[in-house]
Order: sequence, then structure tokens, then C-alpha cells
Amino acid sequence: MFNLSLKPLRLSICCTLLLLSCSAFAQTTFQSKTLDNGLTIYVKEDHRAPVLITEVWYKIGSSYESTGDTGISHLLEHMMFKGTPKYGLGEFSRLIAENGGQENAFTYDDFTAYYQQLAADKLPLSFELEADRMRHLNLNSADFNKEIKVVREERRWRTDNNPLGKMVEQFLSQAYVALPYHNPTVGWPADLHNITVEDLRAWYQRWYAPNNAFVVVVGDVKANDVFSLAQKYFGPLKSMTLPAAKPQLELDNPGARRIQLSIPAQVPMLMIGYNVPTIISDKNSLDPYALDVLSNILAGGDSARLQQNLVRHQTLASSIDINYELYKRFSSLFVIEAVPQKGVNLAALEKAIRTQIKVLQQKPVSTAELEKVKRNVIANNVYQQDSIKSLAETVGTLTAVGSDWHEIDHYVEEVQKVTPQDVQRVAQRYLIPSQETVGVLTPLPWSATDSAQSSLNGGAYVR
Amino acid sequence: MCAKLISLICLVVFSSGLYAANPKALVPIHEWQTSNGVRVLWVSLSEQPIADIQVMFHAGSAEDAARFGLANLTANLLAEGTTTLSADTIAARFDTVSALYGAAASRDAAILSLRSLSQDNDLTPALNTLASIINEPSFPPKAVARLKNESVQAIASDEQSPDGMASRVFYKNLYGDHPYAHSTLGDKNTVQAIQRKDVENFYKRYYTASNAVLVIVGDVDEAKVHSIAERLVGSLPKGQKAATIPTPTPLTAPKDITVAFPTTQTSVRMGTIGIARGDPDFYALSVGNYILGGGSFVSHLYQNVREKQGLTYSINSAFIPMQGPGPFAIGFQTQNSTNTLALQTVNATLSDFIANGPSENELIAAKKNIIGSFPLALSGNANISSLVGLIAFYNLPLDYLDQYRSHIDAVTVASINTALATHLKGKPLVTVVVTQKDKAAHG
Repeated sequence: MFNLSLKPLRLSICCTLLLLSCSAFAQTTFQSKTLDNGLTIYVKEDHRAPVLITEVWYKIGSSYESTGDTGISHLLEHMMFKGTPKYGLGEFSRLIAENGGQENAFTYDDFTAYYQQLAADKLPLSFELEADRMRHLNLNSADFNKEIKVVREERRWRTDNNPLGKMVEQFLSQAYVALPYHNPTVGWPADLHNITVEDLRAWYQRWYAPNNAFVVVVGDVKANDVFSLAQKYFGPLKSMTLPAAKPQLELDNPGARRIQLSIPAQVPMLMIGYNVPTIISDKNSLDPYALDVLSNILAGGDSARLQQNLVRHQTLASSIDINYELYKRFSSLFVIEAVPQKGVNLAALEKAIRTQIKVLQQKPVSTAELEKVKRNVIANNVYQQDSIKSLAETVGTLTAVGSDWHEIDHYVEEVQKVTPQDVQRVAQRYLIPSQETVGVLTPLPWSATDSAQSSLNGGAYVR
Repeated sequence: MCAKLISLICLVVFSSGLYAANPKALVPIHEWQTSNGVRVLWVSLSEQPIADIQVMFHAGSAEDAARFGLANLTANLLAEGTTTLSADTIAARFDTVSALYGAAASRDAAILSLRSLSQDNDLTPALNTLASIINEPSFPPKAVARLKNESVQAIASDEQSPDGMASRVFYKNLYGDHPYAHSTLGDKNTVQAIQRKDVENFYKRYYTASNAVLVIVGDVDEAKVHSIAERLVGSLPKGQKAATIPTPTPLTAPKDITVAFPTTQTSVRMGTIGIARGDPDFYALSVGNYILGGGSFVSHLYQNVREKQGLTYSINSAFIPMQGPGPFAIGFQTQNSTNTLALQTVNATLSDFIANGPSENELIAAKKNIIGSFPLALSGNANISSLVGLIAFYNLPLDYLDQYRSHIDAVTVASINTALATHLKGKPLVTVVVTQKDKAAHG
């Protein structure tokens, strides 16, 4: 895959950058320990403030779900606050609050995570409560019947009455063909009317076990103390036999897809996405890093090509951004999202974006542009160390998808290897029609939306 | 020559009185004034090689007069070109040294922020670019036209969201002709009417030394920090202070407003005029509001509307203290068919709390949370920078952070009840309900 003749050049760039970055580049080091039951604890000591963040991650999320059960992992996340035989309904949140904690949880396609931010001496409380609800959750119908309503409200708020949310959901449903990422994490509306409390019990029993979880702690702690506490509270939990993970692959040639969404809205929107690899789907490949560089060349900052050309010079877009997640269990998407300037035709904007892609495919990027991106990657690595929350979330994500904390520094190193030719090569290889999905949101005229009520009410998902 | 001038200014500043930080403070804050009188707060944090700079002006949307959206437009136009740098050059200069620049306006303030690596070869070019943005913006006509256009798109984006619409209508009805009534973004027609000359005049009037404060947090040492302050804001003309925010006229009767909207979920904003920064009831109301609707999973509103009935995903209440009296507001969403039930529950919860106040146990639990979680707000340079920004802009005492917990600890059930009686009891409420048309017809 690599062009060997480019190696010396790559090395020299690398050396220059290491020189320039040596004082700034933060080395990220976590200490870890795996208990006998399979639970691994990752700790980073940060003694700047007498606080910590502790997160329990489960390797379960919407990419593990089947049609008919979509949204079940997220629904279970909500139910995890409903108490256990030892700590009844509301006790978890009451105890965390009274101990000065801030807490929440989040579910995504490849993981579910629960976190508390606390004073540094409150870790035992978190571990006791988290270990308890890992295996002893109360799941009863009365609580379930209320919480399913809350989740339906969440869906109405995030997606059904949010034009952007709706556009993204429908775009992803087409852009991922063979991969389960085409299902929304919050669940399809019909499924949120059919999932039962029995389904949830089975889901909980199957996936909530120490050997399908890990713990991340960052803050004013000593790693060995954290390991002892983990042994004390999580150690007694039994490991479980987990379902075998089945590999899933996106189609090689999913074909060009296009969706046109007309809904009551005021702002048009354009999404152009390409099926691309991740560091997990293409192990040991430089492509994901080159794609990330490519995304920064196009949209990483106000001096990037799309901002400069499409926003400022041609005044076609009022905002434009690229979303590429290179850390997922399976392959991913490289998505350009743009809002046109007022009065600009979406077709004109689409054409201009395609021209920018063509330029990247035809002409290597300049060394100056590439150097800028490489420096920014190093700087972002430094900036990230400022927030213990953001560091913990990055490490959690990496671990949940099958990588680990070494990737934080490894990422910086890999990006330094990327050459102008690599960027050109991935642009030619992935940003092509057979990998492409285009999504267009055309607002229904706002004044006519009253008469569009029937179409909103007629959907299968609104009761 | 330039360097000499700067060091001279430095000496002057030193001799005119640097207030040393209290070394025992949670966050030791140094304070001084630049040669032209801009107040500077500096916190030295050397653990991370990062510098965070905030330049704040009393140039928020409350100063828009009839040109709603002008303050926001002006703040966003600063980096679109200066007398010496084009927008492309500004963007390239920041990106080349990995500096993150942002500008935003609120009702009270225009805030320019910069995060940069702290080593000289990164920080110096970033600061020079920021200095040009602050001191010599040129407001190119093409950029004015484009950013007006972008503002209109942002307003449209707000107005296509039930929450965004509810919030806009709530402020309008709560504040009437007060300068807090309109959204910071402005209205589509007012933004479209703004001329380049208006932006220039607004900049000249409000981006002055007497309206500015500067906050520097991070890995910047004493030898450099004074010259940095002078370079950024030391050349601003003295100018005239922005007028104080007028006192809003209290409502004399409740206002119930229903907005027809194509939505399957009703969004509600309700409330009244609350308190300004520095109000003596701030701490009592902070604790009281935590119990009513601020404490995320344990509040009365959360328990009554979400936990017991499953009527909403998110519900909360807040006092938003501003330069002038900011609002007290409750917000939630519920499907159209349960709108009436949810509203009844919220109204009953609020009335009950105003009438009966919290229990002693609730008070203890709330204080434990607020006091216990306080160190979280001081973790990381970015958090510290935003807190010190608050202290600087609203002229809070320099020991604000040190005293915060003891002020909270001093709150009693009686002081909460007194504060509720003063600020909420018998006050007519504005209630904005954004909902589907047939639903709206029955009110």
C-alpha cells in the first residue's frame, strides 16, 4: 500500500515535526489492571485539582441491536437509574447528588457509559453503586411504562421535531448499507412502541457483566488505590459467557445513493458522505489517518479550503463541516455537511463541493497545508489534556471499539507520516460515486406547513 | 523600537500598582490596569502549556438600540479583516500556530476568546493577530453582507426549532421594550436593515478601554503578561462607558401566549423577571432553584413531571442573573396531547414551592451538592478561565470563589422562603406554549 520511494521524504517531515513539537507534545499514559472476572480498570493520575471523573463503560450499543429491538440499549441506559434491591428507586442519584457529584450516562452505536464527576475522595461511593447496578438492577413494569414514554419524548425532541436530526437519521439509514450503524441509537419509532420489559431484562442479563465492561478513572487519585477499590467492589461480581462477536462488513461497492427530504423547515441542508475505513476495519493501514488529514485540509479551521473558498470567497455556504469518526467497531463515513448561504441553490453548492474534491484528487496538497494540519493535531492533543472529562471519554471510546489508550499518541505519530501523495490517494480511492450518499433537505415553505400537518401526523410513529 | 516602547509601558504599569494575588486563594488572581485603564485579571497556571485569553466588552445585544442583531454582527465581523490583515490571513495565522479564536455576543457582553499553546513561537503570532482584530478591524463591505446573511440563516435555524421559537417569544413578552427583549441574533428584518456604517459606529462607541476587561489564564509568566495586556488593549481609546441596563417594567398580569407550529411535541417556556448579578438573594435563590428545578435528577420538577409521570425528557428551571435583572425561567417539552397535564403539574409544583419552600432535609442535601461539587468547576484551565471571566465582567469580588461555599452554607430555609417571597410570590408569569395549530386553537 505504501509507495516505498516516498519513505525518505516521509521520514524527513516526521523529524522536522518531532523537533518542532517536542516541547508541546503531551505523552498520554494510563495505568491499567484486569480483575479475575475480566473487568479492566484504566487510570490516569492528574493532580491539578482535587477531583476525579469515573466512568463505567459497557461494550453494548445500538450497533449490537437487531431490527425490531432498536433503541433497546439506550432504553436500558435510562432504566439503569431505577434502583436495585439494595439501593431503591432514586437512591443512586440522591446519593451522588448529596455527595457533591454530577452524573449522567450516554449511549452510542458501539457503547454505553455511565459517569460521575466527584471530589477525589468519593470514588468508593461510585464504585459501590456502579458495581451494585452492574448485576442487580430492578427492572419492573411500572418504572418501564413511565420511562418508555420519556424516551419517546427524547426521540420527538432530538429527531422528529428537529429538521437537522431528522435529516441525519435518514441520511445514516441509507449511507450504511450492510452495517448496523444504519439504525438510530434512540431507536426507530415503531420499536419504541413494541419493546417490552422482558426484552430489557434479557438484554441486561446478556450484556451487563464485568467481562463486557471496563472502568476509566482520571483525576486526583493513586492508581494502586483505585485498583484496590475496584477489587473490593467489582471483584466479587461473576463473569458471564458473552455472545460471540460476529464480524460485520460494509459492502465493497454500495453504489451511489441519494435521498431527498421535504419537511417543514426554514433552513436547507446538504450532506455528502462516503463509506470509508476506520483503524479497526483496516488495521495497520495509514488510510484512516490520511482521511482524517484530508478532512482537516478541507474543513479543519477557518483557513481550510471549504471555509476559505465556499464560505468566504464564493459565498455559497453559510456553514460547512466534515464529520469523520475513525474510531468505530466497523467501517465509517466521511460526511461533508453544508448549509447554503441564503438564496443559494443547493445544486450550486453541491457542484462547488465536488469541484473541491476533484482538485484534491488531481493535485497533491501543498507541504504548507499539510504541515499546518500536523501541527494542529499535536496542539489538539495538548488541549485535550486540559479536560479530564474529554480525556476519559476518548479513552473509553477507543477501548470500547477495540483499540486502547495507546492510540492517543499513536494517532499523532501516524498523522505525522501522512504525505501529500497519501492524501491524494485516499481522495481518489474513497471519495467516489460508488461509495457516495447524498442527502438533501428541502424545506417545505413555512407558510404552507399548517397544511402539511397531515403528513406529520400520518407517519407510522406518531400515536 | 516597538519592543522598547512596550517595556517602557511595562515599567509604568508596575509602578502604578499591581495588586498581588492572595497566595492562599483557591485561584490566585492578579489584578491591575493597563495604561489606558483596562482592568486585567491574570491567573498563572503552569501545569499545561496553554494560554487562554478573553477580551470582554460591554457590547452585548442590550446595546443594539433599534438595530437588533448589531452587537452580534459586530463581534463576528472583527476577524473578517483589519486595516493590515485580510480575513484569509487572519484565519491562516491562527491556524498555522494552532490557536483557537472565537467571538460571541450575549445580551450583556461581546467576548473574544483565544486559546493558544503558550510557547513564544506560537503565542506571540496569535496575540499579534488578536491585537489587530481588537484594535483595527476594517469591516469589509462584502463580509458585512455575508455575515448579515449568515445571521438571517441562524435566526431561521432558531425559528425552525420549537425550543428556539419558545425562547424567542418568551423573552419578547417578558421584557417588552426593554433591551433584553430581543434575541442576541436579532430579527430577520432588523438584521437585513443594518448598514456597514452602523457596525463601524457600534465598534467605535463600545469597543473602548472604559468598556473592556481582559482575562489571561494559563502558562504565561509575570515577565510577559503586562506587555501582552498592553499589546492587546493598551491602545484602545478611553471612550465612554456603556449606559447601565434599565430596570425592566414588571408584568401587571399573567401573559399566556400560544404559538402555532408544525410539531408533534409542545415546547414550553414560562417564568418572570428574576435577579441581576450581585443581588443579595443570589445564594438563597441558587439553593432554592436547585431544589425546585436546577438539581438535574433530584429536583421537584424533574421528579413530578418526568419520574412520576414520564411526561418529558428534559425539564429544568433557572435564575439567569445578568447585568440587569435576568429572567427566572422554566423550560420543558411534552407531546402535544399531554401538554395540559404537564403544564398543570409544573404550575402546581411551582406554586407549592413558592408557598411552602423546601424542607430542612432538602436544604441540607442541596447545600451538600452545591458545596461538594464546587471543586469540579475549578478543574482545568478552561473552567477556571470562564469563572474568572465572570468575575471580571460582572465586577464580582476577587475572593468570590473563596467565599462561594460559605455563602451557600449560610443559606437557610427561612432565607430561601424570604427570597422566594420577594422574587416569585404573586408575580404574574409569562407562559409561552409552542404547539400544533389545532391544539393552539383551544389554547
